[in-house]
Amino acid sequence: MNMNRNHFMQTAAIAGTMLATLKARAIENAVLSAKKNPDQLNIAVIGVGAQGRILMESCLRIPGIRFIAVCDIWNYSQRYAERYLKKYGHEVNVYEDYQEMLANETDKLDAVIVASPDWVHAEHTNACLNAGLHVYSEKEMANTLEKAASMVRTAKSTGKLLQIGHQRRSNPRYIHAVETLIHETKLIGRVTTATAQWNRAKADDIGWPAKYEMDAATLDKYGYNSMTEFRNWRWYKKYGGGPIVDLGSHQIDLFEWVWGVNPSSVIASGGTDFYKHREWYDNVMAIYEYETPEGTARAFYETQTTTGHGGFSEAFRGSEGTIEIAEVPQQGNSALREAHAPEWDNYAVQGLIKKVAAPIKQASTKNVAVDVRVTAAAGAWPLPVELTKPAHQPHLENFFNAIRYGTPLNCPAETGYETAVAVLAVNRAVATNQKITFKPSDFHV
Amino acid sequence: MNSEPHSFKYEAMTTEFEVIIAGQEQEYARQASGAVFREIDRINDLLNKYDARSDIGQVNLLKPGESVRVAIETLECLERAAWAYRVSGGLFDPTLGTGFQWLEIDRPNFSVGWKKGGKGEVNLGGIGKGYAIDQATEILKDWDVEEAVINGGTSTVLALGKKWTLGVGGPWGEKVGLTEITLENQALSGSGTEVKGDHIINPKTGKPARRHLAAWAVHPSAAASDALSTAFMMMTPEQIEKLCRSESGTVAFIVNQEEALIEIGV
Repeated sequence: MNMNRNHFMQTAAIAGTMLATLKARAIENAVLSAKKNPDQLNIAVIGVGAQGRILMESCLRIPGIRFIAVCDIWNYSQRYAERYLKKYGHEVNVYEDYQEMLANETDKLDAVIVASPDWVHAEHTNACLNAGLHVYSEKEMANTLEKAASMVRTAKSTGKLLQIGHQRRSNPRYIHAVETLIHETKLIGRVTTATAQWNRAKADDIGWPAKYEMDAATLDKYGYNSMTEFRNWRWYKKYGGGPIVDLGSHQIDLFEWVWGVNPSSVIASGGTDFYKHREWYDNVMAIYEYETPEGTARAFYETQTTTGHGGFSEAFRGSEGTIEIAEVPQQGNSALREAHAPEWDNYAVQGLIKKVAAPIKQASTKNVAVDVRVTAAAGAWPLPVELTKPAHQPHLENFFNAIRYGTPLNCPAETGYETAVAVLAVNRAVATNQKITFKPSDFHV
Repeated sequence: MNSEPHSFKYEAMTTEFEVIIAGQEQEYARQASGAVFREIDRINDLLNKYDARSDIGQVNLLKPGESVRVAIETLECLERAAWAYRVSGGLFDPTLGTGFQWLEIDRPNFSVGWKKGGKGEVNLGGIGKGYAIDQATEILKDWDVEEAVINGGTSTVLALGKKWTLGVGGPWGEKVGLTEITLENQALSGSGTEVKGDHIINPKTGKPARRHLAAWAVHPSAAASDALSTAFMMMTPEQIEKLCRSESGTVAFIVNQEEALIEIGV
């Protein structure tokens, strides 16, 4: 069953069934918690590289969360995590092999955070779920749909919670923009098109401290061809999905949230045009089509890794206005009214948007050559909701609340899978230079 | 081994950081610098008061009597700021005169907040760059980079592993003959009236600090030198002398209103 938030909120018939499921799950969780410590959730993290550390730091801010184990194949990361957690008084057991960790720690654990490279998310997640543990897995679920589908099936068969790390789904700014302003208030009318991008400046390969180089046998044991590939795994087809997956996935996920339907097709262009030694496309532009109940809508997405121009943001553009938003509010946090749309002052009075100083004054002129209509620029109305926590913290809190109280997950495996289908198709579209069309059934395991 | 030092630059904390590494191959030095810059970004994300998601952003949104859990690094930086406040008699103030007395740093609970009676606004602009440089030295240790300079936008510079002779910029330094300095495992931080004009505000008076024309502080910690150079602009030579005596390793260079160089603790 799809537990996407807006489906949950909007579909009364499903909601009834859902509530029963949630109730059962809450009871089950209560039983589980009673076995351990109801006030404290014991967690482990698999993969404490860059992303694992971000999640670790966010977890340390959440009351009642205790790390008891960390696992990473690289001793440098093991050492970092162990020492970092110790500063907070969390004494952890450290493992290189997740199977050994599960063998020794499962009976003490409530949940595991999986932040390993994409290609082993499924292996790690499925093992944890099968051991009876709840899992927060970073996106992308996997670099192949087969592996991603196996995660959905395992979550279903074990009845354990599986949250996928599309953290914007728990961000109060995004929830306000998508659910309150676009869905409920219809502030921007019919959303006919969306555009999003994530552009990064040119960057060379990441290295490693000489004394922490893994030996060839260890790299081989865990499937890595070299230290360079291990450190830069996102660029290699065996381990990752490239920038469209690393960056694009977060934002392409929003299209489905806004329109409530999965895409019907995608065309894309891209290539390995700059970093000749890397395998994945260093630039991609994609156009999706969505058959919404109100008609066809299209979304353009681009990711560049040779220019930081424009940074990262999303824009949902409708018949009455546009919402510009970005995970960093300075890069996007406002609603723009179309000149012909009804006044928005009343929405500002209700606190749905903020009013700012009037836009460019419409000058009256006798010069017929000047068409004043085009100068009546729409003002930007800031969004009133602020996220006052690190970006990933609300999504982790949602996961822990799901374990503790049966709160619905904001991005359960089924939703994460739908996004994976849409995003991974882009690489296929680039490779084949063909339009990819989707059947609704493609999005469900 | 390549003996020529390699230099790498990166924009962060609204300035340009530079890492100079000696005794390493260029590619290895580049990768180590990249790790340093990532650490500086991480610290910035914790301390940036303009980001509501950062620790300091959150602290500033709290009401009196409230507190929030923060990162160890935020606690450490605030503790060093509190040290600088103490030794400078409040002339370095991480709240810029808005209410340091209300700030509560709760190490056992990893939280920071405001006492019930009131609140101020934290601004770590006068110490954050230095703190980030101190943190980055841990990264360089991991990389076995022993001889290096980390330069935080020319206002604070830390020299590691050997004697580095560094230029001391600015017209006041030139005027009084302080054009270079040799540092080893020490940081130098400068404050003056020339670069950004009157950018230092005396937290006690709310007015620009004009006691001296320029001030430099040398200290083993970049965070300490960063904070102290700001305070020295407002402290009397007698106060600075007392501070240099009690805080070992502290050296001060002052250009007073008579355009004369005063060296303290040298």
